[in-house]
Amino acid sequence: MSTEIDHLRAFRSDDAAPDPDARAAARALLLERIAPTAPLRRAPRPRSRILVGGLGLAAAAAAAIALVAGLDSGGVQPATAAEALREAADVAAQGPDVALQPGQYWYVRSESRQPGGDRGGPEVREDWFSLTGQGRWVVRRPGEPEEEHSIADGALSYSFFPQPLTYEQVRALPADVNGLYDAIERAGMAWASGNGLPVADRTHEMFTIVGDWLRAAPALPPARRAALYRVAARLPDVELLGKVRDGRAREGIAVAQTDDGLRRELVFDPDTAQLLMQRTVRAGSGELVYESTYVESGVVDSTTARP
Amino acid sequence: MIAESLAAPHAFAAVFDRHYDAIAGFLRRRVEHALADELAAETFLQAFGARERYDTQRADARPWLYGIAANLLRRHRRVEERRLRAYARAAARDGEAGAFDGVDERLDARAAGAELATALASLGSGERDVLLLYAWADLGYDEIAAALAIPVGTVRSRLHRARGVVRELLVRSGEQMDESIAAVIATAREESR
Repeated sequence: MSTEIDHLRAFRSDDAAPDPDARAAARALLLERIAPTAPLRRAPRPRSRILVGGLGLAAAAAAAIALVAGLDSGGVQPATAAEALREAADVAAQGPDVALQPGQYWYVRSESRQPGGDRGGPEVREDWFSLTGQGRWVVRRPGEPEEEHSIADGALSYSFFPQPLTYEQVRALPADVNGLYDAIERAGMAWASGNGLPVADRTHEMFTIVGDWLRAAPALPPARRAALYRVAARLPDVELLGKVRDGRAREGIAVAQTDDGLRRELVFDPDTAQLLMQRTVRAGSGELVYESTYVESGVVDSTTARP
Repeated sequence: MIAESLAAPHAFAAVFDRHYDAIAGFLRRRVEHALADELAAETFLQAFGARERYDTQRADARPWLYGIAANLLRRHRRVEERRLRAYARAAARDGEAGAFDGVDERLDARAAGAELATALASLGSGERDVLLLYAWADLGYDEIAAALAIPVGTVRSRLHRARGVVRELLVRSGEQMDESIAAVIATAREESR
C-alpha cells in the first residue's frame, strides 16, 4: 500500500533532471562572482539583529586583538582613525613606484585563519596577477592537496573587487581623492544593490573595498596608493584600535569599522603603509570570524616565481 | 565546506558542485524549467553572498540552500499554482486519451498526477513548502524548520494538514478513477470485437 508521500515522490520526478547548459551557466555566474572576491565579503543585513555577546564571550575578546602594550615608535600617536590613515597616506605617497610592467606579475602570499578551520596551520594562498588581470592562484591547506586556479588570457581579473578591474583599469580611475572616493562609492553601491542591501550601507562596503584594494596597492603608483588611504580616512564610523600585532607578530596600526555585528579591521604598517592584515571579528565578543595576514609581496616575472 | 569558503571564496564552487543538481531538480519540479534554472543560479549567488552568516557548526548545507530556494520560489507562487492547475488538466486529458493503450499502471499514475497537482495547487504556500521539502528534498522535520526558519511544531502541523489534503484527493480520485478506467476498458473491448 503506497502512501501519498510515495505518490508525491514519483510526481514530476522526470522534471528533476538538471540541464547541463543551465548548470554550466550557473557555475560560470557563480565563479564570476567568486573570482574577484576578497577572502571575506559582508553578508546582507539580516532582518533582525541577533545579539552576540555575554560574559563568557567577553573573555575571548581579550584574546581577539593582541593590543600591544609598551610599544612606542616615537613621535605623537594619532588620536583618530582618520589621522592614522592620513599619516599612512603621506607615507604611501613617498613610497617607491613599483608599478608593474607588461609580462610581470604582482605576487602576494597570504595566510588565513578562521575558527575551526585551523588543521595544523593556516591556509596559505599565493596570488600572481598581471597588469591585464591574468595570472593564477594556489591554495594550500594542511593535510590537503594543493588547489590551483588560473586566470586565462582575456579572463576577468580578480584583482580589484567588486568590479573585476585590472591594474590598467585602476590606473585609469581618477587619481585625486574625490574622484577615487566617487569611483569606490559607485563600486560599493553596485555591490550593495546587487545584494539587496540598503544604499545607506555603502560606506561600510567602501571600507571593505578599500581594504581589498590595499592588498594589491603596492603595485600601484604611490599617488593612487596614498589616495586609497585618504578615501578610508573620509569614511564615517571608522575607529582607531591602536597598535596591534598581526598573524606574524608584526606590529601595525589597526583601524576598524563595525556593522551588522561584525567588526572589520585593517592593520597596516605605519612606517611603510603596507597592509599587514585584514581581520573580521564578532563585535562585542571579539570572536574571530576570519583573518588574513599578507606575509610577502613583490614583482616577479612569471606565475611560478616568488620574490 | 562553507567554513572554508569564508577563507577561500573559490572553495564555494565545491558547494555548488555538490548541491546544484538537487537544488535545480527541486526547482524544476516546481516551476517551468527556464525560471527554475534562473532561480537555481540565484540560490547559489545568494548563498555565496550570505555565507558569512551561515552557521559553520552545521555540517550540511542542504537545509540552508533549500531555504534560499524556497524563499525565491515564494515570489513565484502564483506561477507555480497556475502551472499545477494546467498540469492537472493536461494529465486528466492524457489519462483519458491513453486509456486505449490499456496500460492500467500508467493510467493510474497519470490520474494520480492530476489529483496531486490539484492538491498541491490548493495548499497554502507554507504547507506546500513543508510537504515538498519533506517528499522531494528528503529533509527531516528539524532541517525543514531550519530551512524555512519556522518552529518544528509548525513543520509538523503543516505537514500533517498537507498530507491530509493530498491523501483525501487521492482517495477520492481513486474511486472516480476506478469507474472511468473500467468504462474506458469496457468501451475498448467492445470496439475490438
